Amino acid sequence: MSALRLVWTFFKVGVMGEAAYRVNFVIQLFQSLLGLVTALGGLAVVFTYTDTLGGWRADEVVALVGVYILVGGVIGVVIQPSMEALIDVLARDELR
Amino acid sequence: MNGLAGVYRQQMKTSFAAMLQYRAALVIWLISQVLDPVIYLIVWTTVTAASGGEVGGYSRGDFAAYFLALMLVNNITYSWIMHEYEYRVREGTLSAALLRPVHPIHADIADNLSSKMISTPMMLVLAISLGFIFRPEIRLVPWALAAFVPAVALAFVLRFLIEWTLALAAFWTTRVSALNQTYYVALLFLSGQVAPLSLFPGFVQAIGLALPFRWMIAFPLDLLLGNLTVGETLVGFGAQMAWIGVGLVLVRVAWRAGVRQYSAVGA
Repeated sequence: MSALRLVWTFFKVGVMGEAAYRVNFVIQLFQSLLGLVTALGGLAVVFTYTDTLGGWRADEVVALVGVYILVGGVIGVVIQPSMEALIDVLARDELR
Repeated sequence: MNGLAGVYRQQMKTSFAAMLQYRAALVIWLISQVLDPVIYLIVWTTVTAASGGEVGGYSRGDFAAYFLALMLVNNITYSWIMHEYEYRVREGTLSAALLRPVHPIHADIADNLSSKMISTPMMLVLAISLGFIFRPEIRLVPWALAAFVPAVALAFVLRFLIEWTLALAAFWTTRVSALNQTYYVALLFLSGQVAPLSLFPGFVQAIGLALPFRWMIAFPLDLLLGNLTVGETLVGFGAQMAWIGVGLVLVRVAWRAGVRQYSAVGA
C-alpha cells in the first residue's frame, strides 16, 4: 500500500513541522480555550433567561458544542491544513 | 489641509478600483457580517417564544429591531486593519508606505471609508429585506435619530483608533492572531453583539461601562432604537470623547515606538 505509506510520511512531516514551533502550539491552545469560553459564555447568557432552547436543555446544548468542537478539531487536523496549503500553492503557481 | 484632501481623494479612487476587482469577496464578506446577528436573533426569538413573549423587557419585535440595526452599526464602525498589519510588517510592504509624506493612517482611513460607501448601502438593503422576515418593532425618536449620526461617526473614529493601535502589535510580534482573537471576544460580549447589554449580569455591565467596547457599537445602536434618555446620551458622548482622546494618544505613542522597532529589525 504505497498510498498509505505516503499518507504516513506526510503525517510525520506535518508533526515535525508543528513541533518546531512550540510557542505557536501554546498560542493555539490559548485560542482554542478562548473559542470555548466564547461558546459557553454565549450559552450562559441565553440560559439565564430560559431552561430550554427549542426543546434542548442547557447540558444537552453544551454536549452539542463539545461534539461540534471535536469534529472541528478533526477537520482542523486532517483536512484544513492541506486545503489551505493547496490554495497557497495555486495562488503562487507552484503546482506545475 | 488641501493637500490632505487630495491624498484622500486619490487613495479612495485606488481603493474603489481595487474593490471592484474583488466583487465576490465583497459578497462573501457581507454574508459573514449578516450571519452572526441572524443566528443570535433566531436564538433570542426562540427564547422569547419560550418565556411568554418577553425577555428582560425585549419583545420578539424588539430583538428583531436590535439585531437588524446591529448589522448596520457594526458595518459602519468595522475595520479589518488588525488582520492586515501582520502581513504588512512581515512582508515589508509597510516600507513603501513609510516613504510617503503623510502618516500611513490616512491611507487606511480613506480605504475604510471608500469600502463603507459601497458596503453600507448594501447592508441597508439586506437589513430591510431581512426586516420582512423578522418583522422588527421600530419606534423612532426624532431627537435620538439626529443624535445617532454623530454618535455612530464617533463610534467609528473610536473603534478605528483602538484597532489601529492594536494592529501595531505586529511590530513586536508576528503572532498577532491571539491578541486579535482576545480583542474580538471582548468586543463580541461587551459591545452587545451577543445580546443587548441590559440582559447581562450586573458585574458584566459594570465592566462594560469602564471599557471602550460599549461606546463603539451598543451606544449608537441604543440611540438609534430610541432606548436612551437625554442624560444617558450625554454620558455616552462624554465616554466616546474621552476614549477617542485616549485612542489618539495611544496611536501616537505606539506608532513612534513601533516604527523605531521596525527600522531596528532592518526590514
